[in-house]
Amino acid sequence: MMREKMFQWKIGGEAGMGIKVTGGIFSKMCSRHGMHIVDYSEYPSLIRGGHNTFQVIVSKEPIHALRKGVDFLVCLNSETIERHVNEVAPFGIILYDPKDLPVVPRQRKVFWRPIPFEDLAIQSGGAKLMKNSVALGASVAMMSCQFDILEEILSDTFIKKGKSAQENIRSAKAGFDYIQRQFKESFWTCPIHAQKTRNRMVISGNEALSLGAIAGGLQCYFAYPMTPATTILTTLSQLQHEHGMIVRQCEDEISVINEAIGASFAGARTMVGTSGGGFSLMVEAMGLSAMTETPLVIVDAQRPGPSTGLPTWTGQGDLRFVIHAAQDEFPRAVFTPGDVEECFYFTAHALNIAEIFQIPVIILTDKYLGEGEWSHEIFDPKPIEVHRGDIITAQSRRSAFFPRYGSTPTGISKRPIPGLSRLRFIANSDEHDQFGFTSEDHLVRIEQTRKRFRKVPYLSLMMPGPIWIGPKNAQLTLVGWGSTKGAMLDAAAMMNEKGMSVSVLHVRSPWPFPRSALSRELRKTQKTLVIEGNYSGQLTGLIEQHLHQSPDDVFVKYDGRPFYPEEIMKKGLSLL
Amino acid sequence: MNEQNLNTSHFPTWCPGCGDFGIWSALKRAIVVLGWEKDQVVVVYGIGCAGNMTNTLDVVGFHGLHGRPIPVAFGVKLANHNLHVIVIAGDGDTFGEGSNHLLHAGRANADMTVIVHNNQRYSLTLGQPSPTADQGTVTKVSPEGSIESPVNPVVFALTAGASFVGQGFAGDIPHLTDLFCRAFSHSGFSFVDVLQPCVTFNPVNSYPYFRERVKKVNPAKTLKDAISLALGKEKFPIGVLWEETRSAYHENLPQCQAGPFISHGSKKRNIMKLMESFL
Repeated sequence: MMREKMFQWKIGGEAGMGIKVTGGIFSKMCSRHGMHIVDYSEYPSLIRGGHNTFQVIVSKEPIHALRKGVDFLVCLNSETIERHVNEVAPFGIILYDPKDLPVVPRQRKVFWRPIPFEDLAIQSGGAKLMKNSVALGASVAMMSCQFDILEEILSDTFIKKGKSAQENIRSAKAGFDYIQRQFKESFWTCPIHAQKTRNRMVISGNEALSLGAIAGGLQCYFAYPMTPATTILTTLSQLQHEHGMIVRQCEDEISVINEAIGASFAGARTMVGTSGGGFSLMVEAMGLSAMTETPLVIVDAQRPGPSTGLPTWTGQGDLRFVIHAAQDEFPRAVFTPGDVEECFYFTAHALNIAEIFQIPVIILTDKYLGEGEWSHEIFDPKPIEVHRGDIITAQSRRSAFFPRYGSTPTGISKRPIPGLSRLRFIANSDEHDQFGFTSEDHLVRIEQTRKRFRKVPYLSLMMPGPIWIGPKNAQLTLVGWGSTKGAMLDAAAMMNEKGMSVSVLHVRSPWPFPRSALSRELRKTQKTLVIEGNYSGQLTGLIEQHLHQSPDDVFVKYDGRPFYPEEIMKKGLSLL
Repeated sequence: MNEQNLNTSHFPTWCPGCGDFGIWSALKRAIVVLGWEKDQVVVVYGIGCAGNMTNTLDVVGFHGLHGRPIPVAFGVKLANHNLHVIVIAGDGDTFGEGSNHLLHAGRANADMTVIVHNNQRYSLTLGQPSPTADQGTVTKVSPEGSIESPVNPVVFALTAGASFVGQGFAGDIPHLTDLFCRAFSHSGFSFVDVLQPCVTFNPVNSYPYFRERVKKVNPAKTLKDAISLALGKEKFPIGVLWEETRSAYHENLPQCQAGPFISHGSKKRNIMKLMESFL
């Protein structure tokens, strides 16, 4: 029953076998056949060797997350067979090279389809590496898809890399032809319709975030390479000249954030990106941004820690960290996008929030959302706006010393841009008076502290509140933040299909803590289950702390893997 | 404009006789001599006694974190290279907390002038030895004398790739003023180490100590010679030690060719074609 609506394809091999590129091409191919996809890759922190996988869930209807169980398993080495054979669903298909498994195990109701990947690659005049293209061609044939669409994508992919696609196309055709010849009767018609459509992007969270930044007027991006944020640096680097941005890799995360603050101070709309370990190094300067009221957007793409942790895996362990980071207290804003669309819009919005309120703003994503891909219609650019706040760029007739930190009803002071405005002032990490002169006077201290915090109620009004998705009188509400949104939505859909009434409450900005909005939404719930990817239940703790209420249950996961709707459903059912 | 115009209403908090007064004087004189508009000058201060020049100089100021004025200055200059960017920091700030940034700004030949107030102490925190302190320096935290050998500021800057390296003495303001003028006029990473006493915490390296040992020199002809000069018999060569012509970091950026980067302003961008490339 499931396979009429959706199926899951998974390919595995060693690092260096082109698993990621191959998987990406498969995703694109399905999307161009009009299907909805979500993809996800697993890889260890290595360049060669190790075990890499790439899985794609393909669906006729919109889908938000992966599922457990594999319908097509493509094995480019024997390790893939060993590790994943038990994930293959009944009546699933395993494509494997007979060299890797001379004797087929008598195992369940699974169809073993041998295909000499390597030999076919070499025979078609390619290198051994092109067995990944053979696998693509074979997959296309098994799914009754059109070869010309695969050919088109292979062409585009390799031309972008400046290489010839011909060998890959020949290898792919060899795989395609082999399957058509050998398994004419036994391959199983899959639900992919061979209609060519090209109306959906296949895009990752990091790519969507980068596009949102570009659309939203980003001028400078500084970063140091760190998984899983590096792809933001590479994406923006490639696009900097075309779109008029400066993108720079600095010597460490401390110079990243300090250079960014210098650039922002001098008038550039600026963002930095890193993961938890790099953010740890940036913490002191986050306080500098706050104290000097220099706008800055910081992307923390989470991965499990503590310390170096699991560099290439996913998690949600930094929530409390980013909310409290840096000594003493100051206003900040945190966005927790739940899907590629929110990555796009929230990044543009974050740049506005940073510049309007002159504060540090954090975008919290993770490896699963940042590096995974979703099919999505082109984002509507209309809602994107660029607001720079109360900056002074017009040249003052006479140069003067300006009260940069003068008290105002909103706490937001006018911000002259050095040089352009001809106005002078001091941006000071020490406590300071309205002109920025270092001051230890207690009345000045009180005034500046109150001024900084006066911004918070206005800031809260402009942050996206928690959103209720699903039936109003739901008997169970799944509560979460960030990238668990997709798995929660699909779990709720699965439970609602079984006749239950389940809704999702997604927190899109946990700071400033949305006390009244969240309280209002939680009043509508009957039973609540919080889902989050950290050990201690950090959102749960915030709700208990600020709203004095506990959920009925908490489902935490801290193994570096994403949530699956099936496991959320199992936990949810246990509550009902 | 004269030097008085560069004073604010705040008087320095340095100890009477501090070398920082001399550096402050020379700095203001150099700005006047070069005819710079004070609203086009951005001074990025580190944390320490030197950084406490913040309140006293009437320009655009950024008082940053200990060890981190150099990257802030780098970012300022990238955004608007028409600004005159100067870093004011101590030797502890520059060679302790911040040495990595000095290394990389030198490699980049980032256009700025870094003026190090080198008194061999962390004075604001009451006199600990800094990375430039003589081996065997006795202080409250090093009662048996410090163990490490001192970093040589000039050699460090030369090997980092600074395209202008000078050394001066806070007790010779005219010489220092001229040195600053040349450093400020140089396009690229200009590094000036200024030798000074700390009248409160350094009884050894006093004004007389330096006056006996500083020697005015001419610029070296090769990098090797400059390093030899810095490591040579003359304990404290002063003047321009090394100057070479090399493109400043921002001059290599196409984004900065048509004028200051931020003069383009920030606008919403049309990314339709970009999104279509993901179809």
